[in-house]
Amino acid sequence: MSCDKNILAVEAYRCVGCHACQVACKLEHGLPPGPRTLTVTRLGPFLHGDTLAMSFLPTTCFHCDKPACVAACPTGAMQKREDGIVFSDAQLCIGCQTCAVACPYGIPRLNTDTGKIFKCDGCKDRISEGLWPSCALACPTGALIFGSRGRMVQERRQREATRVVQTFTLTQDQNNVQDNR
Amino acid sequence: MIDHPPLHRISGTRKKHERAIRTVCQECSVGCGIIAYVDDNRIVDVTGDERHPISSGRLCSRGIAFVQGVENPLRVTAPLYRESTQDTFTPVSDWDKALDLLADRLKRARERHGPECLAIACDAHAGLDFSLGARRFARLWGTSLVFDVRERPSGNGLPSHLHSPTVSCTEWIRSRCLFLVESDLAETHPVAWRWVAEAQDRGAKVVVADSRFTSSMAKADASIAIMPGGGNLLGAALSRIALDKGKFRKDLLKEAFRDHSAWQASFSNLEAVDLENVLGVSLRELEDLQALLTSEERVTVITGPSLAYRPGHGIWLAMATGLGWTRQPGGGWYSVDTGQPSFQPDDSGEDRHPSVQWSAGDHSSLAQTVIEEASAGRRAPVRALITTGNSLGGFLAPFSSCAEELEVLAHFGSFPTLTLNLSHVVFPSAVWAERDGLFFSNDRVIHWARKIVEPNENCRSGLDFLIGLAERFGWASSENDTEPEDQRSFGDWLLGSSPMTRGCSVDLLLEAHHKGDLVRWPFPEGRLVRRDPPFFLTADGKIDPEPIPSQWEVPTGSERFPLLFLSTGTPASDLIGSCPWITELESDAIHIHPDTAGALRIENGAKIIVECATGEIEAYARLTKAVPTGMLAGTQRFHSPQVLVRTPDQTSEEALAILTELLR
Repeated sequence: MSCDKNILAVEAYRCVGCHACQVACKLEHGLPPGPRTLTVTRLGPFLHGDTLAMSFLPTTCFHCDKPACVAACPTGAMQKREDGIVFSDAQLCIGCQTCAVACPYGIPRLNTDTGKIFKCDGCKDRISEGLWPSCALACPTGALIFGSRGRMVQERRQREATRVVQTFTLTQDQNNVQDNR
Repeated sequence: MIDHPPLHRISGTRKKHERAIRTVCQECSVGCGIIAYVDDNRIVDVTGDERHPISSGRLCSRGIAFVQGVENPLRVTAPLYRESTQDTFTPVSDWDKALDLLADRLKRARERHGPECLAIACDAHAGLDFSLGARRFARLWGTSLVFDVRERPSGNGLPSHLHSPTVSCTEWIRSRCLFLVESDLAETHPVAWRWVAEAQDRGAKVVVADSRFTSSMAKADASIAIMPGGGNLLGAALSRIALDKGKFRKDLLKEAFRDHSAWQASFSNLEAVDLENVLGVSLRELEDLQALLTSEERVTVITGPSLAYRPGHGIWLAMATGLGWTRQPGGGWYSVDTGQPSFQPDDSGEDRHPSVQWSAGDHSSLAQTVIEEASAGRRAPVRALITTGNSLGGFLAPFSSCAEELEVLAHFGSFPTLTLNLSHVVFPSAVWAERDGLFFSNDRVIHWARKIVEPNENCRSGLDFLIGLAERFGWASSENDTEPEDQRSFGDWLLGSSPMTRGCSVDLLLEAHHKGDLVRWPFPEGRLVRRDPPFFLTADGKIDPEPIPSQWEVPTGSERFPLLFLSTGTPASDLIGSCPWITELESDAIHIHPDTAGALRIENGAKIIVECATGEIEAYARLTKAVPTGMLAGTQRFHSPQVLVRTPDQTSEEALAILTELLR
């Protein structure tokens, strides 16, 4: 396991389904309307007891450890980089869509404008220069965040710790610790 | 309070560019900072501005997609003219020629019908230069009909937004409770919603009151379902319970209210209102909600834009003041979409439109009123209309049905819309990214927004259009007006024209922008005063609370049209509406409850007809429990909220019978 790997962490509870990530990706990669690199799934509204519940789940390509698309690609266009990013080299891609069939999530899609496969490339060129991926940068609520593995774990832990601490408050006049749950 | 170091975000672009412009997005009232990267007069990339105190580098889909609209091949780039709407448009060689043609037609209409036959309409994206220029033109021409979507009806004789002690949304993280009333902030202003999410992570309770299940409600800790349009009445009901239980602080009532006993006495007007039926909530729910809200002092109530058009909007000021919320960091009243002060350049201080009643209703009911008064002979019918954006498809929809009677319809805009297709003369407008200008956002911030790219030579600003038109009527120079000729001098002139902004100047804004500061109005005594919120906008710190009205105008279904239609979402600008990246994300399906659909045998995805008193539309149905049985919701706009729905092979009478039975 390489320490160079970065992580795009998805904090789904923050997602409000605004699609900023999808549009930012389109601008960054010059995509026409149609092919989607990110999928923002809306779950619900479901009846949950006697109230309604709804949540959103944004997902990109998972850049699998054992990518089925890379194994399937006949030309070697689909490849996995040293830092883990799985991407398709447009110059080698012939648009056969074997990768699209192989992927269990249906992530690679055909860009009908170019005749080549397109999928999330992890903004590999941006992150090579130390920039954040476009989707995470645009996300207004912090549902998509980016950083080293250690920093992402720390961020998750800090958020959880903050929430645990907030269940207790000091009341002004009593100086008692009160359970506020 | 525990906190932790924020994530280090690294922004920037890899695209080759000549310059990077730091400016502000003007697609909605949040006013997010953006950095646009330009190469050869084309926008090659857009990122958020990490230094902006409110948006901190975040953007929503509109703030990115606008780039597509600026270069949209469907954009109108030359003035167009036709004699009648039956003819096809012919391009006009230049603006001057087109302005001559328009001026001629206007003069003819005026000779035939008198000056009151002209109406000018400014949509939400018209720009301040157009809306101010429109009022000046109307005043010189002699008509009182200026529809400006940004101007809200008066209450208390003064624009209601003057009384809202708006706390910046960045303060919400200090709040203990955020109470959203008929505002789906997560959907309409996701960058502002971020502050709600941050507050919630720090233990603030989020409470949402709305008429349907929204994205914001999905994130709430507690929620209450109310009838659409019942927001202000909810506030009044909660206040009455709070008064009865002694939750209003006596010291604040004496100190901060100019006449609190009169205000308390006006609650007798609530006695005649059947709260449970009109609001659709039980007394128990109201009491529980009241207990929740008054258990905290740091409460910010966030009210949606539609509440400003309804009676009783002043209740929020009274509540936030009397319950002590405005005295706390992270507490107060935040009224969405009211960050712009009122500009009255003619200094009359009076209601600008003496012949049209503003007291209640939104602009489309105002338009309806004007049409009805004309048919009844009480005023001159409108025969000439100058309008921006897709007004006839939106807030001026009543005029679209009598568009054939218009002798002159001039459209200032650049995208093919219903309004353009009904007009006689079209003047292509520069979009906000193509002009400098003043821009006001929520949080009372004043921006000097720098232009990003140069427009096509035929796309001009509203200032150019109206000055050009005025010249043709001999009003170019008058001794009293100092003529602003360009956006910069217009900006200074505008800032100097209102007591709320006098003391501010474009130079001051540029300097602050350079330092990464935000400038907020007002400027008391002409000085820029930095003060920590909250603060009052009245000179002596006392408020005049609006008395509780007796009429609340919460719409209900009618006999012929038993369902209520809720128009959702902020209407997008024509610029955004032309972006394929946005339109592919939207759905114009109409939400309908499965029980209602089932009774009418409407299946998910089926074609339906929605009728209202003035017409009908076709749409597709989406079955969801997010709307109550008596309601439909969608992005469409109707003249009135009472509607009927049916399948194409049902008659209206059949559907009406089924619905009446169902809703009994």
